[in-house]
Amino acid sequence: MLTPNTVDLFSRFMASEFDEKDIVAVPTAFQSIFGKPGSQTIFSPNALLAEIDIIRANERIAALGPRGTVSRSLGSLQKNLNVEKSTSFSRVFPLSEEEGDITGDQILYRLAGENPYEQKDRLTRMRKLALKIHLESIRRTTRMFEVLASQSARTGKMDTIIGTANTDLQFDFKRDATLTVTPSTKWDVASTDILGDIDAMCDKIRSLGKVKPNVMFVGGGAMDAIINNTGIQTLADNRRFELVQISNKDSVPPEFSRYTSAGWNARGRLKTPKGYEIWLFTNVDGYTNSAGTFTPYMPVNEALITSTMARADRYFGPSEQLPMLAQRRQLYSEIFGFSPEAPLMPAMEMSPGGIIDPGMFYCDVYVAQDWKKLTVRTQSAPIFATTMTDAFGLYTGVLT
Amino acid sequence: MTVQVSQNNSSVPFIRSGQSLIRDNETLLTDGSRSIPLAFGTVMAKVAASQKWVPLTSLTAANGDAVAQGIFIGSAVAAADLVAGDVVGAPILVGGGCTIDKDQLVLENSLTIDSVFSSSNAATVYLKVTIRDLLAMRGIYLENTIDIDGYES
Repeated sequence: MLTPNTVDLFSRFMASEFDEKDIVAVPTAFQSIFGKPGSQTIFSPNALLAEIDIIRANERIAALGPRGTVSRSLGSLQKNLNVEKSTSFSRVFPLSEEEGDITGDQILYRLAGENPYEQKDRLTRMRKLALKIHLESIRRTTRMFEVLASQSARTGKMDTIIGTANTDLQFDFKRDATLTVTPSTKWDVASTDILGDIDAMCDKIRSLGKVKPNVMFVGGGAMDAIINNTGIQTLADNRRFELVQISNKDSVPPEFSRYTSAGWNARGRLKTPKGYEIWLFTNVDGYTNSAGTFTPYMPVNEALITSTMARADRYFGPSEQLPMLAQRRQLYSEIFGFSPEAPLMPAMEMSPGGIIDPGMFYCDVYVAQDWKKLTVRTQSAPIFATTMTDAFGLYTGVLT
Repeated sequence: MTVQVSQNNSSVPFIRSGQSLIRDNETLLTDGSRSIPLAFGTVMAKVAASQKWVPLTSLTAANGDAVAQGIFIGSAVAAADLVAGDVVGAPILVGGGCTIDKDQLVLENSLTIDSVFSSSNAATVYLKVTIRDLLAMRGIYLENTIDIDGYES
């Protein structure tokens, strides 16, 4: 039974609330690898499947044959060229769903930040609560995007159920197995030839992925190993060679600005012995996993090498709800004060234009038949595809 | 249930040049123990007595089915259909003087185009040729090809 509290007769002042949720920046670092210019972002509100045909290239040279022959050479000199082999992929969109409930009883209570004597009405409280649920749903969904984008970029695979061990429930973007390497000599052994490892991976990306890599996303521990590596330190100290600059003093070239404004920290430039120029980036953001542990999106003992030229698409599939009718749109607008097609987005301090778009989310509300409960719902159906899949190479387990 | 399906597509022609001769209503011999479908491009042999075709799986069989004589160029035949009985209406490339895409050729039972067939009795080897040569005797020549593209790994 509720008991009225006695109130002391002191005068009081109430500061505005502190809601930590509002200062949690929405992460977009790994998402910045996808959908950038040259890649595609596709919104598919009506189709269950995303399909793509992939044609792989090679870099062979033309044959030379003897002059004066009108016959066709069958030997190894002359090769007949095939140009139309492709692989067709069909992928079923996953579905993420976040829900939050507001009850008729709940809005009789004072909300956090509400002055007890302010006399807010129930509708105002309901709107405020609904907005908080909505914004937190978007933040959670965006963090889930970041986990999926990280997994896809690093491993070439993407779960449709987070953490699944069932490969049937994973998208496989068919990255070449040799592009995931666990170094036998770990990077935190000071004398390790890290530059040699980076060169080896760059060579693989150049030959398999057909692009010249120019960026490396480095986990915190791996970055520490790079900084403390004796070979790199020697080169960094020898100013005449200028192979290594572990510093952010250089102005970051414009092709990387998308990364820096999405939360990657530019850490320096490596010019490898073979001649690849690699910009290093680290990221300190993380999320709370299902065990309640803070987990960095970029694992500390990994380094991902790729190119700004690599195409990596994003597909956003349909919701799983009945089509929005005028009646429901009106209900939504009345509760939130904005349209479900253009929902309010939380503060995105680290999101350059286009990484997060309201069109990625399906927002709606539904009300219990007894008009005592309201549920705010957010759905999304993302696929982060490393379309140019062999343009990504991962060093994993680089620390002892 | 799986969330991803991939399929290799090819619109690359099998017969690349020259004149090709096809028998279009041949009979495939029933095979009660068949467990895999008969694929397009499979090298075929023919049983001498019945004139029915079988996929080339052995180079030592004695009743004619050890000799490469043609290539199956119809739509894949399900294993169950071959288990059930003879399959009629099969198109077989039997020669003519044509070149075909080597990469699309299918050989069963781990045979290769360089596997050697030899015809002999106890004292004398009369003929010793590779599968490639046997097809060439029929006027079917294998052409090396290079794909500008390949299937996903």
